[in-house]
Amino acid sequence: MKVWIIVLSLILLTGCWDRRELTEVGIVAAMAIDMDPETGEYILTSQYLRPAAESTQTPTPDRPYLMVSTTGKTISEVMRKANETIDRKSFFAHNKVIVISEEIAKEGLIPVIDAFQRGKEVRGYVWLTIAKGSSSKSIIETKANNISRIPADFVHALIENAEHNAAFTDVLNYYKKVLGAGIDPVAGVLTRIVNNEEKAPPELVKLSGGAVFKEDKLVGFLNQTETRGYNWVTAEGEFGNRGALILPSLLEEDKYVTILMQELHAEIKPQIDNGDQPTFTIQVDQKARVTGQEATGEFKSRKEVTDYLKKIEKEAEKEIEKEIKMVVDKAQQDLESDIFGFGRALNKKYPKEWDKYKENWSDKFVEVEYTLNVNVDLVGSGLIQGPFKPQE
Amino acid sequence: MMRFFNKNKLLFSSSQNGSKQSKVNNHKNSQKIEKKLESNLKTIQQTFKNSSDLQFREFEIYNAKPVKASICFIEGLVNEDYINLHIMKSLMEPNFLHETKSLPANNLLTIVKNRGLSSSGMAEVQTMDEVINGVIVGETAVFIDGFKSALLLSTQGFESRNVEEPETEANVRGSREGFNEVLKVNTSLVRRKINNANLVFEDMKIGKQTKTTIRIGYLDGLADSKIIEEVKNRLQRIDTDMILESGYIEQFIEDHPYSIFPTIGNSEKPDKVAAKILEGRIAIFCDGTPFVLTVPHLFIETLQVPEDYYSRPYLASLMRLFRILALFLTISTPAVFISLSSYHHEMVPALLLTTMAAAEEKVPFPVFIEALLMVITFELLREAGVRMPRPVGSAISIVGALVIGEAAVSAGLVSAPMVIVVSLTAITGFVVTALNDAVILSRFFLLFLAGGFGFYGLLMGTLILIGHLCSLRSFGTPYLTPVGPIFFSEWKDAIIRMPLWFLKSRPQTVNWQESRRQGNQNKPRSPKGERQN
Repeated sequence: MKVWIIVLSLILLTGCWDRRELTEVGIVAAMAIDMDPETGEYILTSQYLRPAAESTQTPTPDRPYLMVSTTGKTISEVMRKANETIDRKSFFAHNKVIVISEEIAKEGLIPVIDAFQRGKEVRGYVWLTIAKGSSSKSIIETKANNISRIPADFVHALIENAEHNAAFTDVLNYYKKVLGAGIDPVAGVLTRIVNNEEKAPPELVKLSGGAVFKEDKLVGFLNQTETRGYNWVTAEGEFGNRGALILPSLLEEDKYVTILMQELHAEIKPQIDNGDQPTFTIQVDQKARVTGQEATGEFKSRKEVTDYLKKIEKEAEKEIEKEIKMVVDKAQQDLESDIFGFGRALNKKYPKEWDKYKENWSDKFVEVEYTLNVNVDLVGSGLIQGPFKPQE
Repeated sequence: MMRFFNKNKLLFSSSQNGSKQSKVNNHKNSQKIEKKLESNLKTIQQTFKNSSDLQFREFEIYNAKPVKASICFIEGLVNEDYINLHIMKSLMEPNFLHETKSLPANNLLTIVKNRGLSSSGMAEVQTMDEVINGVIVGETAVFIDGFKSALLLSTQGFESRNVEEPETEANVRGSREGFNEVLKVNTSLVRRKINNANLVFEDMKIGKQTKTTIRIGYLDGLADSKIIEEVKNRLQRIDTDMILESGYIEQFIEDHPYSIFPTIGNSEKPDKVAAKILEGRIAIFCDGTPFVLTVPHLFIETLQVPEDYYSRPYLASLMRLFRILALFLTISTPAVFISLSSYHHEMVPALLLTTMAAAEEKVPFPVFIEALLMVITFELLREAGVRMPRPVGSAISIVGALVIGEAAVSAGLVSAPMVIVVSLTAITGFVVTALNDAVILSRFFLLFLAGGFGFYGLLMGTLILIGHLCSLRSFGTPYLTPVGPIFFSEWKDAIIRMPLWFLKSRPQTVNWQESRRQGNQNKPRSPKGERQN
């Protein structure tokens, strides 16, 4: 009898405590964090989904989302505060993207994203992006070239489909790079472009370039070409670095060959030479295939085709080397931020040497020597072998 | 409707006689048959308390002088044509009368027995007891005045259902025979599948009032003698007024009366029962029901059908996997849906969650209540579908479709995803009908746990169910064999079905001895010397 009472109390007196019906939660799809220019407080704008507008039975004509802004001194506080003005309890697990304004990023991101990483509500793999040149609220509000009705989905898709001229990171990887020694993070950059009246669409959100951090503070931006160089060193794997590269065709003036990047393997190899100065070799192995040939021409034999492809490979290697050099120089000279993880590579291979430099690695980083070793392998030319020559 | 004519009678009269000896009877009337005809008839009448279905027919056999005689039977249990033709006509025919005239009167009974009656099933008995036990099962007693014994003739012939296709176990390919309510027909159906003298049937009478004939059948030499002994022991232990259906026996002899899982199998199909006997199982036939019990019964058997063996192995194997899937789905779909929509929103992809939330937006109940309502409604509909009088059948399908369907959704009482969940539960439930009662109960069990604790509760509930299943046994065999205690050698015919030529050994977990059922040469192959294309 006693046992039954205990068992029944276990079942009847507990349970249900964390039950939340779907009609009680407000699903947050995106968050934008701005700074109030007068008080310096945070303004958190959350994008809540409105499922009723998406109902297949009786859809309401409302917008499928709701924007709620709250102001406060800490992020945890403003996240709670939203519940004061909205009839649903905020639910952050499906948050797809966090947009942070440039001003906040310049002062450091750790105080901001600490609340996300410490609590269990926001997941680690939510995209972390920086709004360049506009308020972050306007990024998740902009009606852009969207097919999805929800701006958060739109931004999320931009990042998922990003090619190699854009950098991106999620909160978890950002943390890993900020807290890890010898490497600094690069976050995705969302830019709002307002066109003049004749041009449609009137406004646009674009993901391109990268936001470079030193420790957790924003120190500058990479443009598209520089970001591509950055991606060649850091992006790994089959889908790491999708994107096209335009090269002169070599057959005709002002005509171009386009090659599409495929598998990429990149590695930073540290070396300790005489005089125990560390030097680095950046080894990049890129597979690609030809996707476009503007020039016309005719090859007589297969050998000519392969020779031509060899030449294109050389061109591509030159181009990639140029871009990598551009971005490494910028990181060393302008930004003084080790975004490639030279220090981490050194730490891995020569931990004892690393101990010497780790205290003032950022000073050391700006002057380290590096060599580039780029190898492009054209694995195919599509369904067509050589260029075509129109016949008379 | 069918009557059992001569042929059936010939086959079964001997076993019927056997049955008379095996079980105690509690008629107090163990007196001897008297010489005087009237007193014998009176005794019978008294024993049956003048019951109106007891019939007598008195007549005279003309020996040197007329001798009074009488037959006695219960109407409805006997084939009256047979009595007319083979008893009355034989004894009253002028030929017979003429012949017996010259023979001595003190030998009349023997003359009647040897020369008069052209019936094959016949016994001469000395006690009233035997007479009454015979009459009660449809035999006809012949009394002749002046003799201390009577003749019992097998004249059974009562109305019964035809051998029809069973309604509970339909199949596309395979025998369409199903058992009916007559014991001897049922055993004959099995005997026709197994033409082997080793197929043994043994009779018992259980039920103090009903005296129902129970017949166990097994293949001698294949079934484990210990299990046979155990079955007999358990049957003999039954002390009850009535056995009206084999379900009574099942509940008196099962291993785990408190479990929701059946540890005794039943079937309406002779081919299925024959297959089980051929694997070393023991069948328990019960007079008056088409459901034959088989023991030992394993969990995996509920997910198998005879057709698995009749059709080719590839689709059969896939279907077995689907049945396992259906089992999991039918038990847990509502519980999983509740867990996802009231506890673990983060586990649902965002788009799906939006769709679910959109559907739920205008529903006034929590998902748990909604699911409970729908599942209960479905069970009510199902029960109504089984019980309702046939003429009102169309009404229930119309109303049923309205209740669980579009109308409920458009009324805003349940969400559309919930309708899909309940439909999926129902459809998959019909795939595993053999486990019906256990499935419905565990579905509710998990539903409540999921409503209270989400996936944590669901996990706990599943663990409890699996733990419970592991603890069950059926006549000595662990219920989850060959998965519970692992017997890899049995897996070839458990979760999937390998080709028949591959199944060389009989399942050793049933009779606990290794034995082969076929040779090595069964795999189809091209004739020697010819090249296969």
